[in-house]
Amino acid sequence: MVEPVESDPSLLVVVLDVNPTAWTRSPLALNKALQQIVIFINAYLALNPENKLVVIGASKRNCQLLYPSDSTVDAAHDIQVYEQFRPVDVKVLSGVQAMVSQVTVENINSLDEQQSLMSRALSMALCHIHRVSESQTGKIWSRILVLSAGEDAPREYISLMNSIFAAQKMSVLMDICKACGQKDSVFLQQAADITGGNYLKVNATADESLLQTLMFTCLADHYTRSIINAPGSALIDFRATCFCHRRVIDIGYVCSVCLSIFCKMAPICSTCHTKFSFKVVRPDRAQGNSLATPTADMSSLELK
Amino acid sequence: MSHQLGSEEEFKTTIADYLESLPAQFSQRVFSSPAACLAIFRLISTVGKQLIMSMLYLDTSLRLQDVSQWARTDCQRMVRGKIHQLRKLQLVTEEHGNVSLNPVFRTQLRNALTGGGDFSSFGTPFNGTGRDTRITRTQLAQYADQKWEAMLRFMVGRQDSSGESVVQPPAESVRSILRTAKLMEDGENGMAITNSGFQFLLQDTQSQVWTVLLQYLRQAEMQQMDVVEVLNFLFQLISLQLGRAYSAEPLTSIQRRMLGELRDFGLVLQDDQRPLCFYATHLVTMLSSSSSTNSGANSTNSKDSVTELPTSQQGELAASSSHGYIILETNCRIYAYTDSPLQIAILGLFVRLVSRFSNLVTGALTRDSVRQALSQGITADQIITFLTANAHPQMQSRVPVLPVTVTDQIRLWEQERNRLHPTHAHFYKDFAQKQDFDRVLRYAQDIGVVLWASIEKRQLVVTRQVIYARFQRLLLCVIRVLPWAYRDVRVRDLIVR
Repeated sequence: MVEPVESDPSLLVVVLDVNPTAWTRSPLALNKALQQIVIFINAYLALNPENKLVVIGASKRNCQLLYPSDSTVDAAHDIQVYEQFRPVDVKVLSGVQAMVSQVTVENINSLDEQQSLMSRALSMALCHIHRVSESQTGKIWSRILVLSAGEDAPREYISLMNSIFAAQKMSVLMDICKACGQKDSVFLQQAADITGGNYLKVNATADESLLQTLMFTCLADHYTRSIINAPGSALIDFRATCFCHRRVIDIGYVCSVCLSIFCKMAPICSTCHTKFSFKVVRPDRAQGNSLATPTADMSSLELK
Repeated sequence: MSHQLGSEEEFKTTIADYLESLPAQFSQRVFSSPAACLAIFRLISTVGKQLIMSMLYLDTSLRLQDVSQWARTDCQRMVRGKIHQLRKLQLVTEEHGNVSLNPVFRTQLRNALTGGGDFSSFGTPFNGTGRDTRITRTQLAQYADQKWEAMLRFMVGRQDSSGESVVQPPAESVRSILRTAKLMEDGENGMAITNSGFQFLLQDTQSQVWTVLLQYLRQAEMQQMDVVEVLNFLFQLISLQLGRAYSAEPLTSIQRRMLGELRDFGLVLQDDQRPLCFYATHLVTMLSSSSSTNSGANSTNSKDSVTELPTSQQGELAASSSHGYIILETNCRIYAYTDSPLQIAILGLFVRLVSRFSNLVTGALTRDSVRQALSQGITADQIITFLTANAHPQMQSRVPVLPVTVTDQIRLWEQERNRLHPTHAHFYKDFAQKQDFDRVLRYAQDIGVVLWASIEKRQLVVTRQVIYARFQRLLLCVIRVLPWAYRDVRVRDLIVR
């Protein structure tokens, strides 16, 4: 395992949840939050001139690469900002604006409308990280920052988990910043825990508290994290969703062949098509080579 | 020996050290420009940057203890050291155990990140006529490299007896900097390179530019120029965009004068037809990068579409990786694919050159050639880093880049020269009784101060350190216990060289 060195550059992929429906419920307006995120991005670029950045926007129906993008920024005027920051800022802000204007806000209270395509954005992020680290001659340390506003989408559970484990394998850290919403995001919490990143729920009512939190915990690169402590995370909800109805469950059935999770007993596993023998399930003969056994998720037991 | 050490320390002096030496009211004025704040921010260590960023949007001050609590237990000492460094740079103030950011620095760094404040600090673009005569990046790079190499060739030129056409001496401002930096000195027949000059040649371009700029600052100080203005302009130059025309109109007279002088080094380019328009070259814009990059003679904008880095760093990095030209074999033979007289002259400092072809020079590292370089004040590490930095791409792909046998041999050749280690010490002799001597020796061994001892001759050499005071006390104890020995124990101090 290679240890991070002080001078190694990093690659940060920022995944912005720009779902307008979710942001309408937030105490912090999207444009205020964006301003603070742009400052954070500038701070990140200021750390090391070789730092690289990718910004991805995730909404209800689509995901878009906001930076780097092909559109050119008119460089002639306005030089107040450091040259390196300006194209990034302009592209991110205009990109988010374009994405928001595409979507109409309706059914504010519908849960479906508040869900963004997080797993798709994360897969995009991982593809980019892979591409950059392959093209780079030296070592580059990558991490993902997810700014989440919407609710968990149980239908995304499997793909989300797959990308989380892929990130873990690529030693990509995932920092999660939940900007609004009452509930913690169960899946993103697990993402941060598995990849070794931080999970933060921001109390975004105060001005600049989002920025301060980001600066404090999410700016540090791999090297700095080996020196400076991350804020301790509270208990993490390790619950899973079932594969049949996409419900978050405490206790379920696990296929012993492919480890798929079901909330109801089924004769055939829908994932790997294994036929279960129901004779062995009976309690008196439960020991031995049981195929389908009701199992309790260990972590959910801990929570109770 | 002492001269060598002195010159080495001179090279270690960085811009950070220079900033530390500035008095408080000066640095407050330096911090009043966002560009300077950003450039200074980039100069500090990674942990220091994180500490500053953590405090940037905190309005209250923090307790010093709490800040060191941020670190993992085994790194707390290190973090406290970093805070101390920041304090020396006057970025952080400390009062009654509370630390907070320097208010001026905080405001201006925030401005740099948000794009507020004094908007001319990142340069004013040139909006004059004649856009079609714009200078491309390739032209800029050629111009800068040509100027810089002319200076380096001037430095090695006198040594070169290969019948090369006489090197054009650079402008007077360049020569005076080289002279005051003690890189060259006036000899009988023109200027001659010094030991520190040899060391300078082996450094990478980035360190060379810093050395020159620092010397420029010192010279400006001597000439009673306003150092703050000079510093601010330097930081502004560093943060300029490569390949863009800037207007010299808003500059002060001092800064315009600097522009003219820095032009002689190839750090900036001024158009002859449009005197109010200037460009920064890659030599100066690369300074904001922490990693060392080589001179990018072919630094074209080979942009990677994936990551589109805003500055030109990427093009330079790509250039530096394709720039290596040296192949070193395990048998100490060197093949250098180059026809540049400068590179050949630099290699000639520590390589016995054997043959020269149109695009290839061959030679060998021999004991004599390396020892000659060492006697000129070049260190083994400098030779090794030079060879590593300029290794051929085919060698770069190997780990380690250079054959271990050769690097070890170069280090051994250096150690050959350093067999004597001067240590300050005390010499005790003429102990009257063996048991006195044994007791003193045992105690000295226990506290670990013995450098040399001979039981037969009853003589003892101990280091002269803090521990020594305790040793002296024991010696008196021995004397007190054994009063008859007092007369015979004669203590004589001697500095062993």
